[in-house]
Amino acid sequence: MSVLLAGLRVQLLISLRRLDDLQLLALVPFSAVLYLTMLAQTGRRDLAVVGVLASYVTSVWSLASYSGGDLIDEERHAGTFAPLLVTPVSVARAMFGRVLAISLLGLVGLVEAGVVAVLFFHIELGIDRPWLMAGTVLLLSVAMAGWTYFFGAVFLLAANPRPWQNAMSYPAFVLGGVLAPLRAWPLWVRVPGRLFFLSWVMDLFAVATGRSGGGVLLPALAAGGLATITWLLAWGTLRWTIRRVQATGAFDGA
Amino acid sequence: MPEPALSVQGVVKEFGRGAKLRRALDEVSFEVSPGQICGVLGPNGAGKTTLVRVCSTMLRAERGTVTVAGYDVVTQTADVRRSIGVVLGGDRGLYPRLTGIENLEYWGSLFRLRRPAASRRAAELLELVGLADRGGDRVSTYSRGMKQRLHLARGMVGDPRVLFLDEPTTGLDPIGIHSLHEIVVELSARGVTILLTTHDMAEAEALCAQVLLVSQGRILLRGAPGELEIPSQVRVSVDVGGLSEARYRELALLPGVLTFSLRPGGTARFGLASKDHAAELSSRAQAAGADRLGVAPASVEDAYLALFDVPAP
Repeated sequence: MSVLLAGLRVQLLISLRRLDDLQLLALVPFSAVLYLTMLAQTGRRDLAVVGVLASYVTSVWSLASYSGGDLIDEERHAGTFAPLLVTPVSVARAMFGRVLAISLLGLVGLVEAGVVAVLFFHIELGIDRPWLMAGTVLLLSVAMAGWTYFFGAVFLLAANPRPWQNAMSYPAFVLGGVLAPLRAWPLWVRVPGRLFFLSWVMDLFAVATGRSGGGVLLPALAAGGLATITWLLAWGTLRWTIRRVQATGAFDGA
Repeated sequence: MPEPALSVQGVVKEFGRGAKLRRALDEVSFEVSPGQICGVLGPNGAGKTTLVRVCSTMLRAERGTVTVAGYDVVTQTADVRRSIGVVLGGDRGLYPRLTGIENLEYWGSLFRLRRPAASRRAAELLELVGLADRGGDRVSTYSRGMKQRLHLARGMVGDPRVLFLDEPTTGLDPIGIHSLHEIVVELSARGVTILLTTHDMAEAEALCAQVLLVSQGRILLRGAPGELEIPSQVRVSVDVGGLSEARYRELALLPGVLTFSLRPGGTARFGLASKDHAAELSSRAQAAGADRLGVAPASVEDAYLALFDVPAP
């Protein structure tokens, strides 16, 4: 069994048996109802797909921030982090499948939001370019796995990561153009927003769902490039964090 | 002479900086032969866990060299990691939401075992630690003793040549301790070299071919449990049972009593300077109504008590 597949399997098993993760997924239909009702009430049922995608992206972000962010810290408290350090594979490699699993778990949120739209709002979700949609979902999953790593490494150093986890959500949704397109915001939001991979991912979703006639290349390159930077930053932070833990000897989070 | 399975030479490990600098290991040197069980005995904070962490590549020493299975822990880290298993004290170190089998399969994958091989290895190890019938249950439903046995299996998943056990019996009842000891002996018989840290003197005596007594990061004493040269005046130990604590304390005031400790089960152990002193204490204890009396040459426990300043009152 490859380390990647083993990590995917184990994290899916753990997440599906853990109330915290299931709670995050259980909230998705409620956020979908909220967004879709707002769109329906304002006569913009044509934008229903935006509501579905917003529910999906917020659930992926929440899983990355809360479940993924706590991942390494939980390993430390469970006493598994220290043995993990001395296996023949690196911590980064051992964790890759696991953070990817958390990202992919967000797909359940996409299905949930879609089902809410179809069953309760009788909205037909049009996807003009299914392959672009699939590719964008994959890109989002891999990029969010990078953020999950980053959160995990940074939150390991925070005495109490909860305020950070809470405080980061809405700025991320605004800068990422999740709740409303980035072009709807003032310039001072649009400029930093373009440095955030999520804004380009949302552009790709807009093209895939036929809401934008823009090109694919620029947003794909930008999203991919920023995701790569995120990964490099995450790996560097993780290495630095592990060195720090090794220097202090605080392997078990005591 | 075979190459030692574990060689530690002049190791120094420090934590902190400046005024807060603390030396956890101070010029530690020893060797362990292949298949041998070596016990590292000492009180809390003696440096036992730090020693395991340095030997297992978890921590890097400031000075000195460590080779495990012939590989240097600094320059051949990957080879060392393929050759070792690490079990760090207590019942932690497992994923409670996974079953025993799932835990072992996952850890097997981290030792590059493919799924069928990992499953086979998991089944073998569950059999070895006596958990074959509970392997499909979630670890959160296991007792502490079962978790610690599974923990030991986890440490063995990579088929290590050298196994580090850091206080593996902490918190176990006597049956659990006995069960774990049997497994450790079985592993040693299979040729696995074991470095076992403990503060249980009886455990060290029962299992280990070599014992290191450590305190404040230094090795104070080393040797086979029966051949330790005790740098104290304690030569004979006397175990007494059936008396009150007050009466034990009275006996501890007799001439020649150098160490004294109350033990589980309402008994007490006295370390004495000579056989004559032991005979005097024995006759006084019998006169006081002791129902159990055992006289023996000084043991690891006596050395421990003498070295770590547990004097008679």
